[in-house]
Amino acid sequence: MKRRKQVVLYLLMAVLFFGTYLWFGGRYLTKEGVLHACEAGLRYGPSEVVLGEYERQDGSIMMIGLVEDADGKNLSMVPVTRSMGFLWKMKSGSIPGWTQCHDTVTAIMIDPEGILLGLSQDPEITEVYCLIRDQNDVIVDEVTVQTDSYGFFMTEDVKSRTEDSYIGYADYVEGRNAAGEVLYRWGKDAQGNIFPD
Amino acid sequence: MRVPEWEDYLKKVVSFVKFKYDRNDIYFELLGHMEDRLEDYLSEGMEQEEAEALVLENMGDAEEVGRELNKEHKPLLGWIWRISRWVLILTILVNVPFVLNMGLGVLYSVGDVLLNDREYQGSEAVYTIPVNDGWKYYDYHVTIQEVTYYEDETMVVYYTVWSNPFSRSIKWTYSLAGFGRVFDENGNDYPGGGGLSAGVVSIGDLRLDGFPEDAQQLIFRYGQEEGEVFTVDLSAREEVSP
Repeated sequence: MKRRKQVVLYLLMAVLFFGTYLWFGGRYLTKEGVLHACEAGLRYGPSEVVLGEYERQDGSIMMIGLVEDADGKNLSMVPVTRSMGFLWKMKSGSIPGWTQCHDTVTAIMIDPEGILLGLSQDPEITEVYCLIRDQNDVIVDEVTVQTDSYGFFMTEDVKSRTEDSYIGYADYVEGRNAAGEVLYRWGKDAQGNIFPD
Repeated sequence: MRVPEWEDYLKKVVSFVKFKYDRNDIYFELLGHMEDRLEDYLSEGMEQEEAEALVLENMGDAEEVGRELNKEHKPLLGWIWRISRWVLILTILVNVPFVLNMGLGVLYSVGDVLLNDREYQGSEAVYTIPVNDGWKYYDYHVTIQEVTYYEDETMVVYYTVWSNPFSRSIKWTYSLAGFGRVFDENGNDYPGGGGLSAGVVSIGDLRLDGFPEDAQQLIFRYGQEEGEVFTVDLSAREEVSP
């Protein structure tokens, strides 16, 4: 009987200490938990919805949430990674965090993963067309992607501009409605014409 | 003490216990019992050899004893007990890093209070205002301790920041130096620089250059919502004696 009681006691204490490890050790049961915890620490949000995620070159996952402020919709980007095989924690290093998207269409290019994502503030815009240029101003890819009900869009397999880790804006952006009409454009198009915001 | 006959007996007893991890404990528990009995016999005046033999005889048949002990030391319960003990040890160990971290944080805070002199040395103080009030934003508690105005038109804000250690948020630095949203009553903003210590309670100073001496309010806009401002009334100043 003594051993049975000890087993019960050990397991109860283990549950308690595991709980303290989760609570104080920055470990979470879900990726969304990490996202919201990071947002609270950075004093914005929490994200109303998780828009998507993608895998980074180092194997971590970038969570993408939607955060609204007085000026419109924005992205919340927090990298997460596994801990002990079944928990989640924030990936160490620099993080994008709150990413302002106050242009009518904000298109962000992520290298070297080759991912294009962004937000449209205009609900009429259902399709986004982008040009991606490298450091030598040469067009390396052109992308057309649909927006979802939140105005969010994301596509992978875009040709990278660089093998280095870099997050920047697409060089040219068009926002089109369902009829294909261009409602918004910004940047330098294929002919070299510049469209300011 | 070593009694060869006893050793043979005990080895035979534990050989019947299937859960091998308990055999050592059983061996030494029985040995301790036998030694206690031997002491009793010796204290009654019995000779050493006779006492040793009597102890062994009173222990009973080794196989019978071994089989009875085997019934009490079931392998399944034994394994569960061992695993639960290791699980407990593991869960204690994983807490060690953040306990150390928290301890260091306390030490940093105490050290900073005791050793760090944050007083601005650029020029003479003109007036100072004790505030001892502030705001809570998300999990962070900011307390403006005092503001002091100096002759070179620098306004220095002395403050502390602490965050609830029991909250689930991931802790980041909350420095007013990177704040960028400090104004006077006329809407002029002052970017400011300064320092902030590490620790459970962070102690910092914010230095606002070119702040007008006749300003009546120092306004901190700490959030995006309309009411998220904290105002220091500068008219309640205490002139500093030269």
